[in-house]
Amino acid sequence: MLIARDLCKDYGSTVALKNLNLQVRPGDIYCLLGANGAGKTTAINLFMNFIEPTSGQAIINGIDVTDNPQSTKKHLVYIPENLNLYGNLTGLENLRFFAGLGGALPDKKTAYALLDSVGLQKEAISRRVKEYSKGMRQKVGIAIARAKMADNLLLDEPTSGLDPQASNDFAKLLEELRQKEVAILMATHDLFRAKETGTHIGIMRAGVLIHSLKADEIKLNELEDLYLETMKSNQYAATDH
Amino acid sequence: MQRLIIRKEILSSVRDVRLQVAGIFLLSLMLVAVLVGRQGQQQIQKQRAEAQATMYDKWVNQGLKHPHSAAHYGQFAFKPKSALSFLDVGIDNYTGVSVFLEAHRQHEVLFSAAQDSNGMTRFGEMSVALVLQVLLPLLIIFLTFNVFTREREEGTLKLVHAQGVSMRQLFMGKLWGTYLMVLLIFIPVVCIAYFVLNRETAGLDPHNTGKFVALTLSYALYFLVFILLCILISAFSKSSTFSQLVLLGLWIVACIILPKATTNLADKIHPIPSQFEFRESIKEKVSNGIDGHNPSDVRLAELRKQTLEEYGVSTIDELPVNWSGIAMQAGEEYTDQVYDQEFSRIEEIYKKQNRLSEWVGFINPFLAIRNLSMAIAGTDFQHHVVFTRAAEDYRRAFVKKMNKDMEVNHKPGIAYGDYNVGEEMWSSVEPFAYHLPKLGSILKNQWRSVSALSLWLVVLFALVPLYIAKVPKL
Amino acid sequence: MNVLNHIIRFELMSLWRDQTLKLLLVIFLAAGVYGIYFGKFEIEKQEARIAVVQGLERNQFDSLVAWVGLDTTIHANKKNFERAISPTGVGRERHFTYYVTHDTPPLAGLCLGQRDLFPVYYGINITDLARQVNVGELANPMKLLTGNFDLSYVFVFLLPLLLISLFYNLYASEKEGGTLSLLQAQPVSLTTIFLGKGILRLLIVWGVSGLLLLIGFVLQGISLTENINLFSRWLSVIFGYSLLWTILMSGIVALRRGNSLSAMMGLGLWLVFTLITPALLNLLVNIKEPVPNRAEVIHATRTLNDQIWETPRSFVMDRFNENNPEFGLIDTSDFNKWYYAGLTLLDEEVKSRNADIEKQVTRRQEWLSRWDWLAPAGVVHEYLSELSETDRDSHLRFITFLHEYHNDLKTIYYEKIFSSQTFNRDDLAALQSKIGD
Repeated sequence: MLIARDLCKDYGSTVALKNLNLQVRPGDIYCLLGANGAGKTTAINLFMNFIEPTSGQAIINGIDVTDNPQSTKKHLVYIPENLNLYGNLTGLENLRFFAGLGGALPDKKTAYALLDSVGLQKEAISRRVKEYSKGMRQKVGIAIARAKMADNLLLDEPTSGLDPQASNDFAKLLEELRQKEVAILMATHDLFRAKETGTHIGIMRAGVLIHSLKADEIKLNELEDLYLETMKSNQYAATDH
Repeated sequence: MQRLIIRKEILSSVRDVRLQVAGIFLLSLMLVAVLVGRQGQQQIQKQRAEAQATMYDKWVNQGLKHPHSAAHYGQFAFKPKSALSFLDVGIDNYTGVSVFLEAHRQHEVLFSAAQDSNGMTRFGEMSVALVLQVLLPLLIIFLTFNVFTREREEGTLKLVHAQGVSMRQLFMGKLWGTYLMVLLIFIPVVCIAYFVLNRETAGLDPHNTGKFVALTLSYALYFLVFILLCILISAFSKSSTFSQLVLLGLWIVACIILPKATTNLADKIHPIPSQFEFRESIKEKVSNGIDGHNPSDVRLAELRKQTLEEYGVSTIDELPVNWSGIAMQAGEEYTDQVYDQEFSRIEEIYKKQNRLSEWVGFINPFLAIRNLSMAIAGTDFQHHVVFTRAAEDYRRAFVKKMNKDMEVNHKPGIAYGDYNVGEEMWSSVEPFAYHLPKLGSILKNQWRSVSALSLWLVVLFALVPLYIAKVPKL
Repeated sequence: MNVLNHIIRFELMSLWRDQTLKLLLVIFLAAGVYGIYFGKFEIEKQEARIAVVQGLERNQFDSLVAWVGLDTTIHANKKNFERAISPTGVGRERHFTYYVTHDTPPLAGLCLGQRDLFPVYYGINITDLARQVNVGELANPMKLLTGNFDLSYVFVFLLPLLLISLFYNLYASEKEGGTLSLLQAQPVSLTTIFLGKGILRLLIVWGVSGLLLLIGFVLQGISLTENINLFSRWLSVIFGYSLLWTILMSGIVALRRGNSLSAMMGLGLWLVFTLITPALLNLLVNIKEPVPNRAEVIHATRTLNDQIWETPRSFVMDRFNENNPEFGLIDTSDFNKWYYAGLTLLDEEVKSRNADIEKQVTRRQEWLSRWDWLAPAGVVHEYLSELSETDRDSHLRFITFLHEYHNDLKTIYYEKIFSSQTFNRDDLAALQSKIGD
């Protein structure tokens, strides 16, 4: 469970995130939409404790991230826009390394099975990662999530740059995780993917979460209209300096 | 156009904090080296000049005695510390500084500073030469390793070309820009060094100024060669990381590894006999003759026969001159002849060894400037040899004078202890004075290093128009 | 501990597949092996020189022993017999030359130290030592200046470079390779992760250094069992030095700068600590504590010698009798007794002069050791040459031994001279056993 409570971040006079309140429950996929600089990545970075909040709290499984950054990381997996792994190690070895750091070192057989289950071709599993495509690396990322049995997943634009096939595969893997009661927070530019995959959708602009709605309450074309209107509208401009 | 590029190069480098720090660091290091080094040079030179004067004073005031006793009392020669030696200490710490001069024997020039220091001394002494030869090239590497690669990586190279600048103009602009910056660091130090130059030793070396200019020009030449080399490598490198790696690798090989390897190789190819072999060989040749068939007693008998014939007498007692004086001078001269032969042999081996590193200067410009710099500063092996010979010539002259006096004035029949001379005789021997070789002879001796540096420059400049068109623009 | 173990295991896997690391290690090992061979070559040269003089000494003494048994009724034998039994000798080469050698310490070939600056043997006879030690060994000063490429050089200069190249991109490569954020997302702190990676690199360097030292022992034929103590002390010096550089490089890694800047800073530190600070100390020590003028000792010798010859014999005998009552009162009538007594005075004079000079040198060393923490490379090199007994102190110990040896010889000879006796067969046998030592 991921909870943001009045989460604020500013850099001097620049506001990156203002009073973010949201809740991602187990089995939710919360998709954050917004233009570049809207605060999506800031929100995720705050959950990851890559940066410290100016005020408010980011809470993972009831633990405040700022107070206890290391222990919250046991419960989450992070997949950045560009998931880079150690090129000299194979997919299997990377999985074992990162899962092991998280305290859940799988034996080789389990690790193999995990990579197989996320759809990595068998012959690729023991190849060095420097030969992997981005989609393959993202799959290893999911496998790490599974190995750690983390119940929270933070994704920062994971599908940008993936071809439609890979993107579709990735969505399926997310759905599987959701069914296993994982709470997923994902920043994305992809309206279509958000509508298809997400259970909840938030639209951000200039550091503020403007709309927050359930995915099944809205149609795709309505979502698009709402998004474009939010981006155009001046009514929220006051938040920006 | 050219001026614009030069300006841009200088501005972008001068604004780089890292280069500012490195430049200021090197400048202050050189200032310390100049000021402290010059104080050290003055201190040492003062000590040696005083010692030289004291010892001459002792000689003059040694009192009444037989001239041969005086020749054994002997004199000293102290090696003067050349005025420019604070710029490049060269081998000064590894050569002896004084030699005792007496009858019959060629003593060694003894007591190097290294022998009176612990192992730290083997790490070298800070001097302007060390900074200019080793550290400044490193700064040049950091100035130049990415002059082309960064423009390529950031895409500005295309932009520059779009303005109609030719590759050659760009290249030359970068070259002169970097060169100007290096001179900016180098010239002030040169000026300060010249300003504080020890002028009291002008008598020792009247050609100071000429040598100073030659030294400055040599370094200016070396920097130009080095910058050209670096920019050429940068121009043909695919990435900044690659050219940085190549240049640093070259630097380590050229400045750290190759000099040692060259000297070690030279020692292997031209082995030096031991002191024992050297002395034994002299002893053997003195006693059995240079050709091995002319033993000393035969030589002595021959000399006796000649002398008797010359004066038309039949026994030594009838001679109007002192036979011991004649015999001793003859023995002295024979030993000198043997010594010269043997010493030249050793010297030739040393020179062969050193010549190898001079030849390697054609491959490694660092070695060329190293050899040239210490030669001009008066701290190379050749200077040591010249001093050693000057001291030996001085020894021969005053010993001969003593022998001659004995031959002529110590009449036969008078006991050794009863013939004494005094101050008038001693002060008729001039004090030891030594002049450093002239610039011309130094450069002649170092022609390999001079040509190596010049050849590097010519070849690199010739390469520019040949290959400049092939420099990748993307 | 478990986490560290995990990190180290996977880092090793990753590093092992890195060609650059292998290349660096190969270069380092190759440089080390070259250094080992170079040291061996130099030491063998010194040993060959020692062997020559020792052989000569033995042969010549064997002749003396043979001559003492000659039948002196045959005229031709007379001269040799005289030479054998006379403590003052006869003829022009009057005295027997003994060769005192500075035998090679077991680890000298690994660190040649200051040994190449001094003679490893002295040819001495029983006249004054004062004028016999003023010799050097023939060596090209250019070679002395350039220095020796021995194993200690590889450790002191090249080992830090190896460490720098292993460490400089520790942080930057994660950052530039994009794996940093993934590491930060783990419940293990970055410090722990980099600690693990750092430990592994240090262990690799320790392993390679230990291996190289072992190769040095094997290739130079040094017995490991006999010198296990020296081996472990060498190893601990090198390990400590590597640790120091690891700490310095960790500081650079902690600044979290890019690849190029980190490399520059590492190289800068290397220049400062191996090149610049030692060179600055050497420059400053010359001003603070100048090198003594040793010509003064020679001057003192010749002045005293002049006095000995130019003044009445009582000058020598009064002093000698006072200092050396064990020989009884010697009168001035005998030339030989006066002559050798005079030589003894010379040695006594030089001894006190040299002590003064050595005090000045000690002040130099003291000044240097006050500041040598600024130049760890110099300190390490000094440690290694101390362990290898190739430092200046080792030479001084040899010189002390030389004086004792000369004194022992003199005691044997002078007892005969001052009591106007000659050597017999037993005396020569006793002397011969001294050579064998």
